[in-house]
Amino acid sequence: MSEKRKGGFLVDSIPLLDKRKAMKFIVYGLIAAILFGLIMMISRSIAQNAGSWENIANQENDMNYWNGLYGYNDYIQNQENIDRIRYWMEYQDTIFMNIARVGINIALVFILIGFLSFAVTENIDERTRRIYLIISGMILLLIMFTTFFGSVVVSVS
Amino acid sequence: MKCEKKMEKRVKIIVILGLILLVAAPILGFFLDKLLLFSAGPIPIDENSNTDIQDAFAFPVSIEKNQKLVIEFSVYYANISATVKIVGKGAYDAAYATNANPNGLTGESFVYCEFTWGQSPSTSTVASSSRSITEDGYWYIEFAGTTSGDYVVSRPGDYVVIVYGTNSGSSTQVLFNITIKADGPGEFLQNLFLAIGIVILACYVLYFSYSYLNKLRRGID
Repeated sequence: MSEKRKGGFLVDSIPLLDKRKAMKFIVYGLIAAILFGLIMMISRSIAQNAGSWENIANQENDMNYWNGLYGYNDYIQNQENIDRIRYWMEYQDTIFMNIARVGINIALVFILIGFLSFAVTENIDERTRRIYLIISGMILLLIMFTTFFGSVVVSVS
Repeated sequence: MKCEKKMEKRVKIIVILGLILLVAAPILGFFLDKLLLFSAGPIPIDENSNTDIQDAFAFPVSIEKNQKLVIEFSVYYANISATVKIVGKGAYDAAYATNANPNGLTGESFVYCEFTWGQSPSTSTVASSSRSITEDGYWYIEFAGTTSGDYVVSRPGDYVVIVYGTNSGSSTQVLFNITIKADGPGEFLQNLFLAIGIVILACYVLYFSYSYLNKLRRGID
């Protein structure tokens, strides 16, 4: 009886949402997380394949020169441009990965609030509410670890 | 409601404009990469040009900083021997005033390319101050003022492209083909259009996200 009161005291202090709104938070949070995850994957893929792109671009540059489309000086300028683009393809990963990381963390906060709200909804049975609470705890841990520890990386391959 | 529709229409037009700019950027870049200054062939000059600069072909050009000239010089005519040189405008004017012999003029240094398949471009590019063709030949020349090794060095200023030659046959006519191009604003326009197009699309994405979040907020409250 006293345990129940303790639990009630804890969850009463959390801002509450009704089931409909909580579900919206989870769904929109998931959509946002998936979109930012997609940005992450595309950005990483572009960075990883920058070398292959550079090989193709250099080969095209060689062939354009041999075909007489432009001279040696334009060839060198193109080569420098190819190098610059390759470096940008690698560096954009840093920019977009950080943007996506922030976006995913915000999306996870939305999901966390959604699950927490389910956990404190009174017309759900006690066991299911506990599961919701455990899930939200896990999400919170994930957010904390990935935010405060740079070496923690969650990857799915 | 009307205002929202008007706004939507404006946004659509701006997004289409952004897409048009993105598509047009590489096309403009390609077509305006080089500006055609002169192209003709066969051009007849008299073989007296070999001794009198006033009879030689002359085309004045101005080169800006980091701008290059591309000269395609060719001859495909019997008994003809023609030479191309690029001289500073001052040197040309001085030689023209005295009708000097163009063979005595020291041309500015340029590089010519031979497009040899499989060979590194650096080994098939050579610096020179004049190029001659006898009966058949083609040279692709790049010029930016002077050279350092086989690389062109930008030295902006006024120059004159001159061609003179001889005819070993019964005619005194010297025929040749020449095309002179200069670096155009293609690269600048391409980057500008790409940047504007990307900024427009990025602004649209931000506007769309903002509207979406606003709707979402209204739904949750």
